[in-house]
Amino acid sequence: MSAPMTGSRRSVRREAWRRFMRHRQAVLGLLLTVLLALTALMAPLVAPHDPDEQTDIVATRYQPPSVEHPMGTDRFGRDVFSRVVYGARISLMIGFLAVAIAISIGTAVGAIAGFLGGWLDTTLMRGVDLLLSFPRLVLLITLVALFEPSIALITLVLGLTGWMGTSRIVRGQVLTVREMEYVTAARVLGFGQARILVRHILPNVLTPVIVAATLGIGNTILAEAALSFLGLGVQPPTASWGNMVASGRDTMLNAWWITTFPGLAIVLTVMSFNLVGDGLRDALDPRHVV
Amino acid sequence: MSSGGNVILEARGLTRRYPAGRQAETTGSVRAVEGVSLRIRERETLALVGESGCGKSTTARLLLGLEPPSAGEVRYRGRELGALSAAEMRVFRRSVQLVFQDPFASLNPRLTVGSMLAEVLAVHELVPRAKRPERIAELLKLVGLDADAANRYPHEFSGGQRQRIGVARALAVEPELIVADEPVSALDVSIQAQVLNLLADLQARLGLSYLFIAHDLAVVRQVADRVAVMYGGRIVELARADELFARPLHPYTKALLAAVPSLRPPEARRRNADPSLPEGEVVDAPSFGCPFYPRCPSPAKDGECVAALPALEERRAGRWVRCVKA
Repeated sequence: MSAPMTGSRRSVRREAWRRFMRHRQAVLGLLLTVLLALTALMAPLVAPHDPDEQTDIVATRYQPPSVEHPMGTDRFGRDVFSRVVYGARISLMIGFLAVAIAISIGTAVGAIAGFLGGWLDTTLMRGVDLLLSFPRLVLLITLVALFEPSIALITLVLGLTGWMGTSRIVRGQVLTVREMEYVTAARVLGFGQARILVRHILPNVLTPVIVAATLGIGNTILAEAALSFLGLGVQPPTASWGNMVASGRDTMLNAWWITTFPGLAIVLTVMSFNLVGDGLRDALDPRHVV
Repeated sequence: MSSGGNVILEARGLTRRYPAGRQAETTGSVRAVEGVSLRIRERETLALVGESGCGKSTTARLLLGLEPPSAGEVRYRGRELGALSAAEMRVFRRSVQLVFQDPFASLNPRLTVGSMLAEVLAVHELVPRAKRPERIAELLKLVGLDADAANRYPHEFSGGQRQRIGVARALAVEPELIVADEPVSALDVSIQAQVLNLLADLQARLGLSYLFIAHDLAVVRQVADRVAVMYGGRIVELARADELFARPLHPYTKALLAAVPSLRPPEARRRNADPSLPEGEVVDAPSFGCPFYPRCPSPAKDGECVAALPALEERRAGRWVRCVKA
C-alpha cells in the first residue's frame, strides 16, 4: 500500500494561487484592490487635507489640479483628492458589509431551498424570481425613500436587495453536492440533517460563493454610487464618490476635475473587484478556464 | 433458504417504482425493483449480481432505508424499518453500514481522515474525546493504514487507500452488516485483490456480514457464500455460490458466467453456458411474462415464457430459480 502521495491540501491551494498569478489582469486587479484598501485604512495619513475643511471659499473654490491640490478643489474649496481618499472608506465599507449581508441571506435561503426541496424550495425560489423581476435600482429607491437616509440604512438595503443571485448559485450547488456519495455516507451513519448541511454540504459549495461575493462588491459599490448620485445615499457633507460626482455635475464643463476623479475612482474600483473575481473563478475552478 | 445464523436484514416483496414522466399514462411507472425478497444472516456474505440497471443499487438503497419502498418491507432483526423509533433507528444506523464504489466521491474532500472518523465516534458517543485519537489509529490499523493517515485529506491517497478509508469509516460504528456496492469495480485489478482480502479478513476477525453487490462474477466467486442474480428488477436465481457456479440454472446466469474471462479452453467454458450471448438492454423487459424473454437464447417453444411471469421456485433446498425451462 505505498502508492505515491499526490500532493497535499496546501499544494492544492498553491496550485490555485499559481493559476491566479498567471492571470495578469487578475493580479492587476488584486494590486489595485490592495492599494485601495490600504488607502481607505490609512486615509488620514494619505489625504493631504481635511476632506470637509472649508477655508476661504471664494479664494479656494474651483481650483484646477495643482501640487497643493492634486485633483483640484470643489465649489466649497475642499480638496477633491482628500475627499476621494475618504470616499474610498465609505465605498469599501458599504461594499463589504452589504455583500456580507447579501451572502449570508443568499446562502441561507439557497441552502434551505436546495437541501429541503419540495414546496419550501418552490416557494423560496419563486420569491427570488419575483424579487429579481424588479430592477434593483427601483427596489433600492423605494426602500431608501421610506426612511431617513443613513449609511447604515444604505448598507442594509443594498444587502437586502443583493442576495438573490447568491441564493440561486448556492441552491444549484447544494442540489449537486447533496447527491454526492459522502453525503449518502453521512446519512447512513445516522448524522442529523443540520450536521449534514452545515458540515458536509456547505463547505463544498463555498468556492462559487467566494467568486460571487467578489463580483458582488463591485456591483454594490456601483449601486451605492448611483444612490448617492441621486441624493438617496450617503448625504453631504460626508464624502462618497457618488455624491461627489453629483455635486460637480452642473460645473462639469468648467471644473471637470470635480466629477472626473471620483468617477475614475468608481470605475477603477469596480473594475478591480471584477478582475479579481474573474481571476478567482478561473483559479478555483479549472474547468472554467477560458 | 439455506440455514445458518440469525437473520440480520430481510427484504420481503421489496418493490420500488419511479414515475415514468410523460409516458406515465401508457407505461405507468419504471419498475426499478419488483418483489425482491432476500435474507442476510449473521457472518454470511450474500452477493447480489446483475448488469447495470438491473436494480441492485436500488435494492441496496431500500435495504439501508435511504428511500422508502413502493411496496413490500425491509425488516431489521424482525422489525420493519418504517416502524422503528428514533432510538431504534440509531441502533440500525450503527448496525448496517455502506461502502461505496467510487473511492473519490465517497469521502468529503474538506475533512481530514481523522476528523471524519472522529465525527462518527462523537455523533454516536462511542468513545470519549480523550480516547478518540487512539481509537482512530486502531481503526486505521484495522484497514491496513498508518496512524498518520489521520492528519491527511482524502485526495492525498490512492484509490485503494481511499477505499480502505471508506471501510474504516463504516467500521467506526462497529456494524454487524456492511452493504458493499461494487466496492472494487473502480479499482485496478491488482488493488482489487488487496481490498477483497481486507474485506475477507475483517469478516473473519469481526464476524461481519456482507451484502456484496457486483457485476463481476469473478469477484463474487472469491467472496460469496450465496449469490442472488437480478434481472430487470427481479431476482431470477438464488443459490449457494458453489452450486451456482458449478451448475447455473437460469439462462441469464449462464450468460453471465459465459462472459467471465477464463484461462480454460473455450470448449470447457461452453460446457455450462449457452454460446449465444444475449443482446439488447434490460429496459426492454416487457411488462408481462418473463423479463428476460426478449433476450433469452432458448425460450420455451409453447409461449409459456410470455404467458405469465415465471415464479421464483425452490427446486432444491436453498436453490431458487425463476424460469419455466430450468
